[in-house]
Amino acid sequence: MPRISLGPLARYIIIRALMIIPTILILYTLVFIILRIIPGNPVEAALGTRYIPPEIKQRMIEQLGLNKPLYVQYFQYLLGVLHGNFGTSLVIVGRPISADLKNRFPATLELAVWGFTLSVIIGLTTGTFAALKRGSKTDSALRILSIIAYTLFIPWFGMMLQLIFGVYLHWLPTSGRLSARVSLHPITGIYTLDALLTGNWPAFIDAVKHLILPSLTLGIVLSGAYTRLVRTNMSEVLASDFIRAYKARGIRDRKVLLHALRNAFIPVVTMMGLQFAILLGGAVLTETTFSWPGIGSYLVEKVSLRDYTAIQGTIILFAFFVGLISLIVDIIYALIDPRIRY
Amino acid sequence: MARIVGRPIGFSLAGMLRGRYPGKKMMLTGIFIILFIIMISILAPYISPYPPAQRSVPISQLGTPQPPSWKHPMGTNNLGYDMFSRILYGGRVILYVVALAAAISLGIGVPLGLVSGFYAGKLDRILSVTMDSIYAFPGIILAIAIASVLGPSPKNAAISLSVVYIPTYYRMVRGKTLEIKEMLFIEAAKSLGLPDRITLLRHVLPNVAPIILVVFGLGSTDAILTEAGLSFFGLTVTYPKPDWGLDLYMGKDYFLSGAWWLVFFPGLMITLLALGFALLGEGLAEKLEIRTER
Repeated sequence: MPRISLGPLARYIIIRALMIIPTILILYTLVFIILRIIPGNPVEAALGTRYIPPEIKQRMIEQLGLNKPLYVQYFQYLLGVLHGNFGTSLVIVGRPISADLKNRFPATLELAVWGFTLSVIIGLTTGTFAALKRGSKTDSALRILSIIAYTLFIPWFGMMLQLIFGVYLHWLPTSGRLSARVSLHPITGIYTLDALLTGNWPAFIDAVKHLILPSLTLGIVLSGAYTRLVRTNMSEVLASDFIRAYKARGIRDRKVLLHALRNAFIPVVTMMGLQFAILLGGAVLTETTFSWPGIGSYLVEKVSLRDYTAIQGTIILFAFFVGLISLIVDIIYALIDPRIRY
Repeated sequence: MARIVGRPIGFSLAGMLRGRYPGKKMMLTGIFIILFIIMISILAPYISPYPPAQRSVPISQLGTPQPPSWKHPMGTNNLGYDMFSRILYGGRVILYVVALAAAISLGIGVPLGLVSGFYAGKLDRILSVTMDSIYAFPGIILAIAIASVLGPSPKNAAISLSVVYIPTYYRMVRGKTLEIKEMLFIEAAKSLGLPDRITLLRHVLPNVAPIILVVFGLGSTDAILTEAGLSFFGLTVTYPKPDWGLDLYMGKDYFLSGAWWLVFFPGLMITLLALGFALLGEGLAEKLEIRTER
């Protein structure tokens, strides 16, 4: 039998990809158990005191498969999820959850990517700056600022930005993704990308304006962790022999700094997966604050309606998202650091 | 010999106040902030000028939030409630929830981490994978899901937070236990025939203790922000109970038309409390030279 031989990198990627499966299964199981804690059943709980004829209630229970044994429910729903079927809403009876999620997801993705990029840029700049000025007043000020950054309560910080840049200065919009007067033909649902694809500049500028405050909120709150990691790594790298050798050879400071930055960047990449998960949690708060129609604000809306199948579906989508991002981060890490292989 | 065998790292409260060491200023500032907030929360009934959920303005002013004045230093809201009084009372729920959650997470996370790290084996692997999965998932999203099922109450909020923060304690304690297990004094204890229970409690736990303190500081920072998030979404208490997170949410509809005081003060208090714990945790980490993931 011919043995398929794979390069070490390909093997690493495959093994790493398989490792997402238990993670998602565990979260799926946890959510499944949590939602079965509801006294009675989700249908009764969602209906609350509203009166619905018993035969219709019975039909809803049957439609959702809630009359079947638990293990059947467990696998049936899992199978559905793998086919992109997240069940139907309990409140707007019969509405598929997957349609809602598909509608809402691009908004969250756009916000997350912008917020993430901003946090990395802010973290890299402030961290490098602190390392260069090590031991100075600027350094300790940046240290305290990076701690304050992660203790900022996102809705509050977001509202303060809305107050300053929206209410007092009238520079930026405080809610939504696009002004009513701007039209945009959606392709991917990621507005900045769609505007670029269709060459629609007014829409692009408008979408960016709407993105600035929410992504800045996320970017600043999440930058603190990078600032500190980059500072520590940069200080170590700057004191290392190869940098001294570069300097001795008379290579210009700017070029030396670039070399140092590349080496200091590697540990930052390992942290990105976890940071992205924290960012998604923050996105739930940010979306609610800025009336941003993503899956985070969708989750909050469904919580107040007690639409448990929608809550379940959203959490599972989040789990997939987190798993996928951590996979991508690990692959990038393996690509830039050849020492990482199985 | 003492150096090789490894001495448990002990520390006392008095020792922390005396002398100079890195992180002292941060730690003391953190402790001061936390104590200050605990104090105003305890003293609220005696120092607040008005009841927190009762009209404190003439009926003619109902419906319009009033800006800060001498009578109402933090203004009033649309129902005529005095915001300063609500701020004084508003820390009670969050402090209670976070303290309860910390106690539950400590009580479950620490023993599991100790046993899991000490014995390794199959149970350890299953626990590790499970805890890592929960740890890697955004905490507030999981907490929202659990709290929405359990129903809004401070006790349920604490349970939701615990599920999210048990893995944090577990991971750090397990990691440290794995490290300490390899040390000579543990081997010595084993070869002397000391029962595992005694070894764990007398020799492993004291060495793990410093890291637990750091996790407590930094973990509580996260827990405070997550709990404030639950409050913000109405998953901890119901209005008109004074609570910073919920007050921030209630002010959301008014601040864009200028009533900044309805959101500024509650949010500031949440951030201040989180900052207190962050400074405590950071200072401790620096003193004890523990690297954190933050």
